[in-house]
Amino acid sequence: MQKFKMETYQNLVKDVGGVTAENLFMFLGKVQEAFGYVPREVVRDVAARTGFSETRIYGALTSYRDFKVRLECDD
Amino acid sequence: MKEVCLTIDGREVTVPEGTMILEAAKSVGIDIPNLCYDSRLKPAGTCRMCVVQIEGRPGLTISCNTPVAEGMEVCTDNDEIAAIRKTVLELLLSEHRVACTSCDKDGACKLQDYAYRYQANEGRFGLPERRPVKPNYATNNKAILYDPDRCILCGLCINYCEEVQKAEALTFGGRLGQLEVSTAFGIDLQESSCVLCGGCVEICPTGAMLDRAAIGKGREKDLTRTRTTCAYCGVGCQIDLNVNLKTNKIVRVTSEVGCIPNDGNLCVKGRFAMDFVASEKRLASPLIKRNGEFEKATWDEAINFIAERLTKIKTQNGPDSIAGLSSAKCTNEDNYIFQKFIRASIGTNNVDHCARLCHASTVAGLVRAFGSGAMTNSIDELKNAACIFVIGSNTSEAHPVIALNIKEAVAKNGAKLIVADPRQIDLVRFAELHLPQKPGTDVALINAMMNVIISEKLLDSDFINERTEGFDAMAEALKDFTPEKAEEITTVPAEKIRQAARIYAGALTASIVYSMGITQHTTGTDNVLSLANLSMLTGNVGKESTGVNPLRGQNNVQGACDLGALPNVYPGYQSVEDPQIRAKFEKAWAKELPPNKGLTVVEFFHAVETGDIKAIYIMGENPALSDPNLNRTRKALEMVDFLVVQDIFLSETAQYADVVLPSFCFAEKDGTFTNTERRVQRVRKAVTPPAGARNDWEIVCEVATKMGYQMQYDGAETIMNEIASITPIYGGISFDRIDSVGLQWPCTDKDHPGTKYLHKEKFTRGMGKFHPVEFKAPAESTDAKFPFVLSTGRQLYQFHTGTMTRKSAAINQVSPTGYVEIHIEDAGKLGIADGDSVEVVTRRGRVSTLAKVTRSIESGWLFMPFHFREGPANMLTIDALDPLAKIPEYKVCAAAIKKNS
Amino acid sequence: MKETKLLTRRVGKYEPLDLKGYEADGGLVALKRALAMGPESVIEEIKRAGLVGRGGAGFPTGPKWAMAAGEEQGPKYFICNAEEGELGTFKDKVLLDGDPWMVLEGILIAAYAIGAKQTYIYINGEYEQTIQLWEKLVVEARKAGFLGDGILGSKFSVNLQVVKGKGLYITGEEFALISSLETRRAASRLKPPYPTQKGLFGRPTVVNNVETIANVPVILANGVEAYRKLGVEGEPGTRLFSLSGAVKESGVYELEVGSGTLTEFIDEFGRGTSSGRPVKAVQPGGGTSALLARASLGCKLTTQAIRQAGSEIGTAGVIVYEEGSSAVDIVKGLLKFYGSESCGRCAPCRIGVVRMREIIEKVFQGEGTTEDLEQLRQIGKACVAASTCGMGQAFPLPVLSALELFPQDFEAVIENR
Repeated sequence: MQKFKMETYQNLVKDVGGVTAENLFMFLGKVQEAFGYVPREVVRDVAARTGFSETRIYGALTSYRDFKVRLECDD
Repeated sequence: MKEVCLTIDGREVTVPEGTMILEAAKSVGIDIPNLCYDSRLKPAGTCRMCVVQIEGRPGLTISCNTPVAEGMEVCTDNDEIAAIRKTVLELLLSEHRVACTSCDKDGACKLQDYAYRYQANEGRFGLPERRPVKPNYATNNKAILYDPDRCILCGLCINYCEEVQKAEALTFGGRLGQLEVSTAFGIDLQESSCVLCGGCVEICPTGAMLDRAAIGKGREKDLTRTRTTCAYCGVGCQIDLNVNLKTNKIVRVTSEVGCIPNDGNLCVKGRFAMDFVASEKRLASPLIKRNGEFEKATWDEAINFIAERLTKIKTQNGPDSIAGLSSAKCTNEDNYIFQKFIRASIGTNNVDHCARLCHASTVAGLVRAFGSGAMTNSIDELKNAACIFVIGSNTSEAHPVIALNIKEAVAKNGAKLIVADPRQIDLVRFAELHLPQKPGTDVALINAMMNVIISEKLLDSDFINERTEGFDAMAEALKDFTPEKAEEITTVPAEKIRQAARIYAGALTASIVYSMGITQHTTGTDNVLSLANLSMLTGNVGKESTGVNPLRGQNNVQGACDLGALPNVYPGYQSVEDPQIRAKFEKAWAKELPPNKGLTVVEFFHAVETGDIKAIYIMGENPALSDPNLNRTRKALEMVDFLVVQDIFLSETAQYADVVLPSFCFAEKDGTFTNTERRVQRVRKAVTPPAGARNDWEIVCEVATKMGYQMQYDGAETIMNEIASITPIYGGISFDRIDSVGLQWPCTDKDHPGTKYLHKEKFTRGMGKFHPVEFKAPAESTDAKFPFVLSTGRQLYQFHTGTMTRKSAAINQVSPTGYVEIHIEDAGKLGIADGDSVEVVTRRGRVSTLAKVTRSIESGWLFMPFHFREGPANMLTIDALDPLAKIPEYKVCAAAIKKNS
Repeated sequence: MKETKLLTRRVGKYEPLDLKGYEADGGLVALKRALAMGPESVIEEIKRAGLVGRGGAGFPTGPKWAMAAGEEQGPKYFICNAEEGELGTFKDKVLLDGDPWMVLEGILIAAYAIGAKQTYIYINGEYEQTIQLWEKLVVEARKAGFLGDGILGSKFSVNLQVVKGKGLYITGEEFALISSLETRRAASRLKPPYPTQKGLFGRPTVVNNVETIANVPVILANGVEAYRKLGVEGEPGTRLFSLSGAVKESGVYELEVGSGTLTEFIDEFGRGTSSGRPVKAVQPGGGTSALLARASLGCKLTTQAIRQAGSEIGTAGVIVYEEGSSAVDIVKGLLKFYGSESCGRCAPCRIGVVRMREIIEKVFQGEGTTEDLEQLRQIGKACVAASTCGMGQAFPLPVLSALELFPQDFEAVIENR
């Protein structure tokens, strides 16, 4: 797990050959695995790439046990 | 469509194939309980209350999402079903942590109603305790409140926001146990994509979402609902003012699903901007200016004073030295009386109103092309259009409820939407094509589209041959107007223009929707003529879901025009210059009438400068903020010898008045408005007006009578009857007939059903007339000193000069002040950041405002809303006029912008 | 009673990524045949084979494909459902790990038959090694020309995306799975429209379970007649049974449909109960199937026979409970799991499952009353009658059956107060 960096994120985008509606869910899984959560910046970015609203993506993410939308503190 | 016959509770029901059981039952008055059904939405099926038994099928089936079938036998209620519903209700109540005793929804809550009907025991699974209050997305919002402890998670608010409003501000968030309605990341509603339409509040079956300002102001049993017509834009939404008679206050605004034309949908203004009605700033006494100061006066004093001064000016300078500005905010009856007063009592045709500033060019253009200057088709027809071409209309902000129809056409029925607008407006999200034409180049764009249609033989020759004239001359004028040529002028790529032409011409039915982006130009009439040409070229006029559809800006701007608040026509567009018609009115009004047409509004003010106009009587308009080149307008208001202003507030214009007369607002009046689709609709009194104020038409009648011309009516209905008797297009209108649903003119007699769309078999003028239109550049062009093109217009949250909307706390929260939109790259070059204070300068004035840095506008262009007195955009606009329609060019002038130090 | 290794024939016989090994053992015959037959004929064969879904609902596979294939032109999708989240069910993993090329071959044939260019395999997130294997498999398949453009020189092009499940039981439900892939909330949806009409991204979509799809290459390679020789009338072929609970030997066993009874299965493959005490009850079709008491265990392992005995074959996850365990514990265990798995979309399931879990815990603590048992029954019935999807309609079934079959267990804890 690493700290969120826009650069690392951009590399993930490159690795999957661009984010589309068809691979978004799988891609967000990779973001979650890389950073331990899906940051708001990412949601905003993939919303712009896919045309899905941020609201929809947020709503979706929060329905899964294995997705986090905030970095969880250890306390 | 195929009909299906089935039996519901032993009753035979015949409905179209595809109807859901719940709807079929509803059609015969059988009410199947439901907490998540709404006819505007896809079935949600979350509450499961609507379960029914179908003969031959095991178990129970939900009726909201089960289509009927031939011979089906449905039972909607029996002991087994009741037991299931009761248990489901008790489960819901086990998570409903608030008692009805202190709930604003008491008496209007479906959960409460069903709990009572099924005698559900709220404590069956233990009485839940209220959870600690946590901030949520609406905590800081002034319009809306959300209480998760009352929420049954039916999803109606979310589905409404997504499916109807298409704002997608709300979603379910979290998992079982923490599930609740939320915005993305729980951000404040006002930071989200919410447009504050309030649809979520109204659709909520419980008290989970409430109108925050209404809390504690009255429950269902304390409220009286009065159906009336919204006083904001020209859509004519039917609203129910929920008034607490004890306090004489409008507690909330609701709207009934199924009502015409808005189907229960409203925008932020209709929903949350009624605070002005009960504002402390309402005028409650006539004021007379003495030694530069307003002093309270009695009505007798004020009326006598006005009558004396006007009589004197008329005697000394002739009736044409007086001008009257009527009001698109007032009722048809008010407007009729006002123009009658100006024409018959004063004796001049110098009467006009703000239609001059919005759709004068529509009337000028469409009358020339078709013979009638109104929206050709109906709002509802947009839903079924195969193509909608929106040009110069930011529909989502200026006519939000019509935008819902356009979005529905695209989303539900697969309509192809073409948006021609310099800005990346909301509708672009739904568009097949966006053509960001340079402001003021519409003729070039439309001409090029027609050039493509002709050269690619996409035209409707039959229609052109049978229904129109002047085609050859127009076609000749278009010959060289290729998309490439248009690209140079408009900056829209030629290929896009070709695509647009093909989509528009290729559609079975294509509707043109436009507004002030077309009309407010020195070439406004040309623009309108071009659109008329385009529609006739493809046969897209005179049939359903087609047409040329100007969206009218003010609630009753259509009616004010219809009722003759124009310098050239009597009510019903009957020319003042036609001796026969004049004779008819002279007889009806028992007075000799002036034969020459009068001046238009901007000309009034210019004529003050030359000394030709000495007195102006203004009813409910605010030119000191709304008219172009304000420095000049305000100077004229100052210069004019005598100024009367009749208003509900001491507006910017009223400050200049010699006499101010307090009047009723729409919620205090009986009468009618005519909406943009020519529908004459009732306005009904819902609250008691402020003591000291008077009805607009009554005030005018008193002045007229005092000046020696008797005008007396016992009510609005009597006035409408007089209107009907001398106005052929309103001939069949009566209060009785428009009681529940309005009527669309022309409606010539008592049996006429009204007219859904115009020019059906024949144009009003006989043959539709093509006009060759040459492209002309706007009056002012950019140069080194003023390098930007400035457009002005509306935004969603405010209305006109803000006198009404800016009294609403909910609105002030989201739209506190004015701004200028500038492209991010231009801003970067000028060192301007979002929110910076900037100065915008034109050859006419300078205004300080805030910068809104955006990508939704093209580089080189600026946009400013005109509602704000503290940064009045009209200080900057140019008062160059369209030669025919005399409409000013609000949409284009040359400007400079710099950061304030 | 013995196993009939039809689908599991090659399991463990070749290195999972070794395409040659697969091909050498009869692999790819079906795909080649399918591409030569044309899509309509493939669907026709699957229909004639009488294959029904192995994911729990038991819908006929051929007709399902035909529906999607018959929808208007445009993008279509095929999804292989490898979420396998049902309690007591772990058979798909055997195929995914042991003969992945066969599953892939099935996916390709299905995609070809319905006209899908994009396919997905949605694998339970806990099967981490399986996911890694499949990600490699996709790379290998692409290299070998089984994914991408022009498969085996035909005009058929297809891609496969491996998607890791996100730890939710509900995503095993086909619409919840589709919602997931659309980046929507993991929740069921109303039907109609069915996935074959408006599935993924509003397009016709077929969702098939792993075992179902593994049958496809077998049918096409061996021929319909050979396939139909196995099984019983109306239910041909074999089934993979997962056996777990109070047995000496848990495992996955492929049996010819109808080849023995539940008792025989438990005794012969499970080698009896863990403690040697008699069987008390069995869930024959995964955690949401109704309990069968000992007296009913003589039923044959067919859909019909199990239904007649009072339960469902479901996912064929046989969970055994032995004498000495209380029905209260059984129910409590089940509700503890399902009690946090409702998608929350519809009211009865969302609230009902939580209330039921609370009540059973109260009963378990010895604080229950007979009224509480009645509440369990009422809520359970409401959920069964009024819920949207299979989960809400089924999770109360074991509870209701336990109350009916073992009232004394509940009374005992209540009386003990």
